[in-house]
Amino acid sequence: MRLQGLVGMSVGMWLGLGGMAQAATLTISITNTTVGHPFKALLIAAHGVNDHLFSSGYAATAGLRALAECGEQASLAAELRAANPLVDVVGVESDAGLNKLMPGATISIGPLVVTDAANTRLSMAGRMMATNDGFAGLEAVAIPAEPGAYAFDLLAFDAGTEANNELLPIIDGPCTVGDPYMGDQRADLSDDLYLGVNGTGAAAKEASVLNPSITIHRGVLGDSYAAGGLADLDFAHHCWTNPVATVTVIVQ
Amino acid sequence: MRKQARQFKKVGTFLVVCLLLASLGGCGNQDDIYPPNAVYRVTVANLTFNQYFPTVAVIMHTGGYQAWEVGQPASEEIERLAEGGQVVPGANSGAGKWLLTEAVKNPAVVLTRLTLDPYSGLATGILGGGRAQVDLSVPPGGDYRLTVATSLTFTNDGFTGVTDLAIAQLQPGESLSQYVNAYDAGTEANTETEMTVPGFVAFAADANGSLVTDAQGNYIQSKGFGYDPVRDDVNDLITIHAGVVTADQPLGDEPDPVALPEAYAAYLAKKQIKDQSALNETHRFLQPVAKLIVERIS
Repeated sequence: MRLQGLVGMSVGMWLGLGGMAQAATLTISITNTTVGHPFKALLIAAHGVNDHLFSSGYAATAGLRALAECGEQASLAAELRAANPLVDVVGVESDAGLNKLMPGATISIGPLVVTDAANTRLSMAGRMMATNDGFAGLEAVAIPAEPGAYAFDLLAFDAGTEANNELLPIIDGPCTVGDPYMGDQRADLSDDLYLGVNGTGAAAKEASVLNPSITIHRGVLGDSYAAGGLADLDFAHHCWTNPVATVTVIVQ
Repeated sequence: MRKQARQFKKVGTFLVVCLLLASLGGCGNQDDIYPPNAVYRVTVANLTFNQYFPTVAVIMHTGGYQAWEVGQPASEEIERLAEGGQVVPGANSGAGKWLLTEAVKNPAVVLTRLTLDPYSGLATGILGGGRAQVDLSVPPGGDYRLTVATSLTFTNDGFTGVTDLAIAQLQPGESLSQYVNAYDAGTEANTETEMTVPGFVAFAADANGSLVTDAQGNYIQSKGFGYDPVRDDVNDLITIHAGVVTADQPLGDEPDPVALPEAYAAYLAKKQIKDQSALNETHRFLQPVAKLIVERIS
């Protein structure tokens, strides 16, 4: 695990200010509780009540789309910081270069120093790699004021930006921002033995009723065929129920 | 009428107290005699992909009202909500119990409302990914709780909402939000057929496609029958909804009926629903299915 250095230079600048409230320090552990979905590009933000890493029930921003489809976190971090320079953002890349948090694995992040007393909300988002545009998310929970250890759940959201065709070349193909079928930047799923090939496309009905809002992900359809069928995802291995990750936040 | 009478009684009591306090310098102006109402804004976001929520019932009440309880049988009004999406009777509904018509009979209920479209201001349901809201204005200081309920239109008897949610702790400018699960009312078998799922409602037509009527001049429903008083679900109990199978559900290989009889029976049960299901993969959902936001405006 390494921190990407997305914590802005503002950290040091703001540490001594805002004397009316003591700045909290957070240590965060995230466990991937899915069976078959590595996470990529986890982004963690402490922010104000009017800042949003994502908003369920509304359309995804370009930055969230890049994270959900592409596993690219810098755009979303930049969006958040452009809206409010005082947010505290940490980007996590895990599994030393492979850049993913494997199912069952836990990473510990921190300390994340909350530099502005107005940053009272905590949000997280990370791409679920074996989906078209699914991401694990924590949506603006209140950071507890009292020191202690607190548990939160991450839910699987659908960014609503790409049809859920569940085809490997789209899910794990080259990533081009602006392409309606942005995939990952490299073949990150090459070690997933449950992936099939040559599907014809799940969710064929989706195009006529495309829902552009961020929703709770309705799950993977999948099929049982290693080659052919509708989907390249496995209907048993790649399914999940919420929550898809558990989080422990230690507030100091 | 009863509600208005109760409010009048409260104001009356307040006036008596004010008269007693007048010599002590209390209640010196109109604002004290008629304190401004507390206004709560209730917003429901439909977080499913393609499960329409019919108009959402919003009930403001104090302690002593609970619309349902998980693990217990559903009332007739919850059965009508879950199976047919109705919270008030329709034109030809006949006698029965509906969520709002029953709620107003409960002395704990202060106010009932339906969600409104934020643009048109008309009562509205909510498409997947959409939202609707309604403001409730009530005398301040009550021990207020909320019940919010709607149904998942493309299910046999799925519904969602909260009941007896405490909101009295909210101060002006404060808000709370929470995700909401879908429940299975346990009142109708989850067959997913176009005859039993209200989302497929249709009416009989003649060869030219014109709707036909019966002797009383009423249209004749042909599909999508919602409420049915027969209770034929596995258990007559409210549970967390397990989701829908849909016609697009992959089944995998058929298990050996001799070596794996239980797996084979489960396979056949799922295959039966898949073969008869009028739902498609867009109707699938995982929990939670909605987000509820309650803001105290003033």
